[in-house]
Amino acid sequence: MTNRPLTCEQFDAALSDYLENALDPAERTALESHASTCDRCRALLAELSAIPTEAGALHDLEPSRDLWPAIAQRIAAPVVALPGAAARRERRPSVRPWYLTPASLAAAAAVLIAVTASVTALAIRTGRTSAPAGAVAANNPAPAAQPNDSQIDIPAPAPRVTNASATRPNAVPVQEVYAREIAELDSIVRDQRSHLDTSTVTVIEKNLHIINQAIAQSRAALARDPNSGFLHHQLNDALNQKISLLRTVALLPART
Amino acid sequence: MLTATMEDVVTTIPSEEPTSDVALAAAGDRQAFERVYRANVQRVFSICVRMCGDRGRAEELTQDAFVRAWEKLPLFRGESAFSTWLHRLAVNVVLNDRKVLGRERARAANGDDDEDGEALYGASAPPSHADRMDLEAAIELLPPGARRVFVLHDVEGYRHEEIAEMLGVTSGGSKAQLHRARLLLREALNR
Ligand SMILES: [Zn+2]
Repeated sequence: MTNRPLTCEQFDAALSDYLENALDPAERTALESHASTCDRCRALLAELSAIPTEAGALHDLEPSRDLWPAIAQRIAAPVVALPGAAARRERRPSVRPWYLTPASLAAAAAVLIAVTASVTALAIRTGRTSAPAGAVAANNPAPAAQPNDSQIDIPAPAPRVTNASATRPNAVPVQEVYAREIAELDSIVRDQRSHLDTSTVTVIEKNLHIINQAIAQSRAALARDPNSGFLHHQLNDALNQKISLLRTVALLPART
Repeated sequence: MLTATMEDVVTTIPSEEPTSDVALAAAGDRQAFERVYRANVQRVFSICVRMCGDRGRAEELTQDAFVRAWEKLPLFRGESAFSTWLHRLAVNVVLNDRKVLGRERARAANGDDDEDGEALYGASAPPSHADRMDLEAAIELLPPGARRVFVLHDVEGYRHEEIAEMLGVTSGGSKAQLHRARLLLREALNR
């Protein structure tokens, strides 16, 4: 532009662009030379330049209380209630203690052991893409829902989808269905937990952990090999295992 | 963006260790998610406080952000770092907060908001507990528009183009707000 020295007003007007590095070299030089001769503008430039540096070095702040308990409570809430789940809750008075018969516990333990065995097999095979898909049988498929209300209402069978095609057009809904069902069962299981004895809870937790590991491993493997039908099958299998386990636990106290 | 697209087919968590806490949490492991929370809560809370200017509300927003993260985690594709993903999610939670918006509108009606920040640090403004106000306190007193841009740009390191998209303003508007924020902060820090 021109080589005439800037006024303070011109300096102010160009300062924002200067700090954004948006001036051409001649303009920069003009601005810097004004700052070198004007105390007011030199101070302004120095102080404004210091602010982003200081802002970038701010320490993190700490909440005044532990925010986790409320979060834990909220993420345990069901996303969408399955038909039957609400009715099951209503029929369960909160004051009424739950007693598990030895027979029901034994049956539950047997199921849990079966789940552990097949999930462990699944986890071991994860990452080995040569294994044939579908080697893990669906364990413990839930019986069909009973219209008779004197019976336990049993949630509908898990959305068992073999989703191995490369295009996977309906994969989002499938994942959502899994997520929803798991969330719903999870909340039932959470209600149930206080009515179960510690050793049963420990077994459940252990199984859930194994299944969660398998899910995480399948997803990680899928990240590396997104088109592997086998891995999609693995993931769906693991999700189905989880649903089966949760469903089993959800039904435990009612099996008297 | 955080919104799930149809390409969010199956969650992909590319991680060196397949059973990282983030991956486990995405698979539904609440204990792993608590560890994720513990590792990130201060950072998320800081974003919320500085974005909304209210510590009490920021605690609630931090909780909202983690609940949202839990819900969205199965869709996290690992295209960005988890922390980047989480921080952006927290920013969006604050920006979509009705209570914050409501209070800002009330503030604007009282004439101490945005359009003209001249009187910002006027008679009623900064607490005089110290000779010099610290930057943290000065940020809290900025008008909302300038504060958001300042926090996103100078504290969180977003670019003007990103900020413009997040806030629904132009890139030039973002630059103008940033400059205004810095001028106001300088004024506050020098008084
Ligand atoms: Zn000057």
